[in-house]
Amino acid sequence: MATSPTTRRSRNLKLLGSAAWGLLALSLIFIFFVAREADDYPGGGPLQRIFYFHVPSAWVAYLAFAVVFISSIAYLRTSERRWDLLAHGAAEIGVLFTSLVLITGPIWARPAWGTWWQWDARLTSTLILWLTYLGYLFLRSLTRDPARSGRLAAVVGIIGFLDVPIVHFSVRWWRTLHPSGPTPADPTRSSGLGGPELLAFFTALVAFTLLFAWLLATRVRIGRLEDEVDRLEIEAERPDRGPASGIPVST
Amino acid sequence: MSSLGWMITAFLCAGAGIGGYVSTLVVRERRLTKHLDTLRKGS
Amino acid sequence: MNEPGFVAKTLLLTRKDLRIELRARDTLVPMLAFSFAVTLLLAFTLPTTGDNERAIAGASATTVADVLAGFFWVTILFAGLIGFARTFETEQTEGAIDALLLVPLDRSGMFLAKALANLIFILLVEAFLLPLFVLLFTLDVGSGLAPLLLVILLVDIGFVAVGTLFASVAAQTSSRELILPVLALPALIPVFIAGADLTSDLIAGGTFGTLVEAGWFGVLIAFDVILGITAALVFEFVLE
Repeated sequence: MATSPTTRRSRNLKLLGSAAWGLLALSLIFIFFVAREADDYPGGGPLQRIFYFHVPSAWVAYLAFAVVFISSIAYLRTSERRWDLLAHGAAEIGVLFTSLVLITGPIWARPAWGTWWQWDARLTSTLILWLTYLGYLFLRSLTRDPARSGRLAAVVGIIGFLDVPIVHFSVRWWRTLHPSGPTPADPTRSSGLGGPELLAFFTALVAFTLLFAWLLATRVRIGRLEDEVDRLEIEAERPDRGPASGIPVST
Repeated sequence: MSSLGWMITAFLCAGAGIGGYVSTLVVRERRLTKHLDTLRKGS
Repeated sequence: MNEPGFVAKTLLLTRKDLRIELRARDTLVPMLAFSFAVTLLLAFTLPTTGDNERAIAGASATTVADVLAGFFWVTILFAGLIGFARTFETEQTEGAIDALLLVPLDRSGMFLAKALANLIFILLVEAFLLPLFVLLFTLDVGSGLAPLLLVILLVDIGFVAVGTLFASVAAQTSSRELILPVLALPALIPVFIAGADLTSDLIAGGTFGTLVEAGWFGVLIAFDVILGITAALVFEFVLE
């Protein structure tokens, strides 16, 4: 029995979804019941478990912005709609996970460092990254013509990503020149992760990566559905002209 | 607040963020599929 | 008949923009007025000592240098964004964009022409602002003047590259004035932190030696080279 590519694709997506959510559930068990609590230094104890989803969130955020960068270049070179959908979806998910990093970080820092925020290199560059891609999404919301919106957003996506390493180095120097407040303890090193902790961490990392893939695939599918709806609506408005040949208009 | 309390707060925030985004995706997909069906039937 | 080369055509386009500005005076004048007003406001907010020895009462020389450098660059940043937002104003409102696109010149040359005009605008603002700071804040640049000018030029190159590119992006959308700062400010943070920090060092008595040793100097050059080249390359996709 032959299956159409659409059904196969939708089945693969379902498979990816179950893998991601299943592994996420498993990693929660590992995080809360397998990983041992670190010594009760400030930032240790139960608090240290934040690390197991804070760091994977940051990883997914950087991965997502790298996807935006690569898809943006691919879109400018090929003008293929799928690259644009990929870049748009990845930017949205990247902003979501950067927000999670920026929320869970201060919640850890408040009891651990005694302050919500530090102008530390990593914190500052994450914040700038978040602002950059918020601007990217804002730009996308302004233009209705998808081809133009895609081109402009791709330009911003490329410049924004190239800025990341420069921002990172610059705030590191800036930080070194003006040290103030407590130094952020490296949670991996100071807590001395053992086998069970590493298991929990890497399970969470893989689970988050799969979750990212699933979210991105779902988001791209929604983008396709939107294109299809727009195409059919244009067609319905002009029944005499037959199928609309123009570019689909997306939101 | 205790160390445990902070940890649970952070965990719930992360859960709400991911859960919230997933639910908007699900709602959007359902609405679009429905809309698409009516459009296809109409033509 | 000889066709003019890349450089000649680029300079011709820059001269066209400058001539328009000379007649209309609707970009540089607002930039200068804005920076003058901001500087006056900043001067009023600073508590000065009676003998005008230092700009801020009770503050150490390094603090004064930090504050003044920050003031200087923030003023430039916003004055620049005001001017850059108008980069494609004539082309957009008068429909001259089609004529511009017909110029037989590489798109990167077009970018260079626009960026060069913006660079001249921002340099003029700085030529006005630096003496004003010396006057109002009793800023003593002294031996640091030559390296300071170098820092200013390096910051300007990065600023103008990113500012011109994002101005061209903003010009293609419905809300030009709104989107330019939203896009440009995060991207420009490294150049301006670097500029403010180097300037502060120089105001506090630094020389060429301290400048080259500072890691910031590398950041500035890296930013100028990487983003300058990329901006010139991707510009063609904005104007299509």
